[in-house]
Amino acid sequence: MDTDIISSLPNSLLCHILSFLPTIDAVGTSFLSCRWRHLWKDLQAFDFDTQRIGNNERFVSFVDTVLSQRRFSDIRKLRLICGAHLDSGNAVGRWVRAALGPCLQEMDLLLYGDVSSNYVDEIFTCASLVSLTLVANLVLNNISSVHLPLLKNLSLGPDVPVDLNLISACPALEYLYFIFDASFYPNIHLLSPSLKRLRLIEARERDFDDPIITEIQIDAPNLEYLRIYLEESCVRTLVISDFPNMMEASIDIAPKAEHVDWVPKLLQALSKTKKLALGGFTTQCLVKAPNLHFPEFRYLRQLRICFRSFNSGVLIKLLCCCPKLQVLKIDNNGVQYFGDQTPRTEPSSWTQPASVPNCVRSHLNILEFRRYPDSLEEREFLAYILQNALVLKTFIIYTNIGSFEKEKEHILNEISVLPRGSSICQVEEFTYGKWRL
Amino acid sequence: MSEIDMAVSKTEIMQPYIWLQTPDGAIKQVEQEIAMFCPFICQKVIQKGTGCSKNCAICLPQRVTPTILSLILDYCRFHQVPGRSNKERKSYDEKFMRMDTKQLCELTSAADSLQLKPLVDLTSRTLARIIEGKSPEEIRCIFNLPDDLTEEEKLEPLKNTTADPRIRLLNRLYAKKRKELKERERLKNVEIEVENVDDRSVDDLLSFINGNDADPKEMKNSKNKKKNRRRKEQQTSSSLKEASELNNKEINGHNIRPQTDGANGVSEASQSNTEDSTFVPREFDDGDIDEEIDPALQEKLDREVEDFARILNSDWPERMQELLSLGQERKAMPFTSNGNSFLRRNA
Repeated sequence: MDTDIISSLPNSLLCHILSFLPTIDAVGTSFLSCRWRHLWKDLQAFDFDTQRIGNNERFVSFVDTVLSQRRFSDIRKLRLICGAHLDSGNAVGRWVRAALGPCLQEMDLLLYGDVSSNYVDEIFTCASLVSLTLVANLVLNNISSVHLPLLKNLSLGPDVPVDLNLISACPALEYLYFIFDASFYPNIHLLSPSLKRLRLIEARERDFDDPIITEIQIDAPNLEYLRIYLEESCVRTLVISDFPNMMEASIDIAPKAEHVDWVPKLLQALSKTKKLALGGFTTQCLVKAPNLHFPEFRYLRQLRICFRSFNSGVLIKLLCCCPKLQVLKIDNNGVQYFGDQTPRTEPSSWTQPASVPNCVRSHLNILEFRRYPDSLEEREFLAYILQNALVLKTFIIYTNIGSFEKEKEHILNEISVLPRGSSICQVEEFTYGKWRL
Repeated sequence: MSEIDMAVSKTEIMQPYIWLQTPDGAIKQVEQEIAMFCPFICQKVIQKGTGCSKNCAICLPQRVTPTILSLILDYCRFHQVPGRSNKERKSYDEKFMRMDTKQLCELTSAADSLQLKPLVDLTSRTLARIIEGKSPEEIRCIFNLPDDLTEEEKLEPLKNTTADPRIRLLNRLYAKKRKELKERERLKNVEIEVENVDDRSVDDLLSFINGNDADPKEMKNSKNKKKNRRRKEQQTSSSLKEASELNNKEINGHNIRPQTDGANGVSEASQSNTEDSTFVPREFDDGDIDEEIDPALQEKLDREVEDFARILNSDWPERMQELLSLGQERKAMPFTSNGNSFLRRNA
C-alpha cells in the first residue's frame, strides 16, 4: 500500500516547496487534505501573475486576500506581474509597501503600462534586497537615492531612469541586466569591481533619430560574462577595462562607422575569454576595420561567428589568433535566394592561407555551418578546413530551410567528395529553422 | 578551542576518510572531502570529533537510509569539485532528479536533515514543478494524500478580513457564480462528470479565498433590475446551449486563452463573444447586485470568472520567459516598439 511520504515532511519543508510555486497554485493546495489546508498561510514568498487570474479586479482581490491572511508579516520575496492600471486603487503600492521590510530579499516587479509610483524610492533604499527586477514605465520618477548594500542581482527595464553611478555603487553587485533606452543615457558609465555578469541591451522605443551615446565606459575587472547588444544607437567612444577572468562574451553591435574604431579595442579586452560569439553586424564592423589586428585569444575554446556576407579572409585571420579553438560555428546570415538553383557565381575572394592555422590542425573538434549557401567562397573555405582539420570529429551542416531537396542533395554530394584530413569525421545535415533534437 | 582540540581537529583534517552510520546500524566509509560537503557531517567532525574511525562513526539522522545516503553522496561527489561550469551542474541536476516521487520526497527529507541546502532547494523545486498547475485530485493521486477534508470543509470559505468594498462585491458575485456553475453541472452528461469534480474545487477556491460574505445591506439599482428580469426570461434555452458549449470548451481547455492575444484575437474574440451573448445567469437575486458595477462590466466579470475556472485546470504555456528567466543565458528579447511602455500586453 503506497504511503503518503510527502506529508511526513515537516511544515517548514512543505512550505519551502510551496514557495517555489506560483501563489495561486500554492493557495490551491489548501484543498488537498487537512494537513495542507493552512500551510500556504505560512508562505513568505509570493508570486502573483495576472495572466493566471485574468481579470484585474479579481486579481486585486486575490492578492489582497492572500496577503491579509498570511501568518508572518515579513515577506521574503515578492514577484508581481500585472498591469499598471491596477494602480488606480493604489493596489500595487499597497502590496509593495507590505513587502518592503528588513526581511525582503527579492523583489520582481514587471508592470506594464504607465506607472506613476511613489514607492520606487523606497524600493531602492530597501537595504535587505539581494535581488531586484524592475520593469515598468517610471519615466516620471526621479530615483534620487540608492542604498542597496546586499544587492547581487539587478535587472532594469528601459523605462527606469536610474543614475548609473548609484547602481555601480552597489558594493555586492554581481549580475546586472541593463536594458536601456539610449535616449535617456547619453553616457553609460559602469564601475563595479564586484560585477561578474553584465548584459547591456539597447531597446529602442521611440522612432527618433538614432541616439548618440557619447561614451560607454565599463570598468569591471572581475567580469566573467558579457553580452552587449547595440541595435541602432551610435556609440562614439568605448573605454573598457581588461577582463582577465572573462569566460563568455557575446557581442552584437550595429555597424556604424564610429563602432569600427573601437571594436578592436573591445576584442582586446575580451582576449582572455573562453567563449566568444560575434553577431552579424559586429563582424561587419570587423570587415570594415582598416588594418584589423586581432589580439591573441589564447584561451578561446568556442567561437560562434555570424556573417552578413561571408568573408573567408577575416575568418582565417581570426582563426590564426585562436590557437586552442575546439568548436567553430559559422552562421551565414546573408541574403539567400530561395529556389535559385544556380550557385552564386561571384568571384570568390578565397585565398589559400600561407600556413594552416594551428587550431584547425590540432584542436578543431566540431565545425558547424548554418545556412550554408553553397557558393564558391564558402565551398573553398570548407574544403580547406575539412582537408586540414586532422582531429575533426563532427561536421554539422544546416542547409537553408528554403532550399529544395535537389539543392540539399547537391550540397551534400559536393561535400561528401571533399577530402578529409580526419578519419573520424562525421557529417550531419540538418535543415536550419527546425529544432535540432 | 584549546590547543589539544586544535591538534585533534588537525589530525582529522589530514585523514582522508569519514565513517558514517545509517539508522539501520550499517557503517559506511566515505572520502572526507565528499562527506564534508554536508554541513551536518562537517559540524559533527569539527565540533564533536566523531567520524574519524569505525568505532566512532557519525550517526546520521533517522531519515537518511542507505539508498538515500548513496544518492546524496553521489550528489556531493559531483558538486564538491570546484571546476565545474554552471551548465554542467545544471545538466547533472536535471538528470539526478529523475526518480519517482516517493524517492524524491525521501531525498528532500534526508537532505533537509543533513542541512544540505542546495539539494533541498533542488528537490523542493522539482516537487513544486510536479505540483504546479495540477488539480487537487491529480496531486492527491501522485502523492497518495488522504482526501480527508469533509465536504463542508471544502465548501466553507475562510473569512476575508479586508473591508474593501470591492472585495465584498466580488465575493457576492463569486457566490452567485458558484451557484450558477453548480446548476450547470447538473445539466452536464455523465462522461464529463469526472472533470466537473475539478470545477467544483476550483469554485471553492474562488469563494474560499474571497470569503462568502452575504452582506444584507445592498443598494438596489432599478436599471439593473430591469435588465435582470429580461435575462431571466431567456434563461432556460440559452443556459442549456451554453452549458454544452462550456463542455466542449473544457475538453479543449488547453487551447483557450482568456485574454485575446493581439495576433490571435480574431478567432478567440468571436468565440468569447458568442459565449457572452448566450450566457445568462440562471438564478437572480436582485438584492445581490451592487450598483457600483455597470452591467457591461458585470457580464465581462461573469465570463472571466468562468474562464478563471477553466484556467486553473488547464496547462499554461510559459510566457514572459525572456524577462523572468533573467538569471539564465538568453539572447536579447524581441521588443515591440509601439507606444510608451516597454511591454505591450496583448490584452
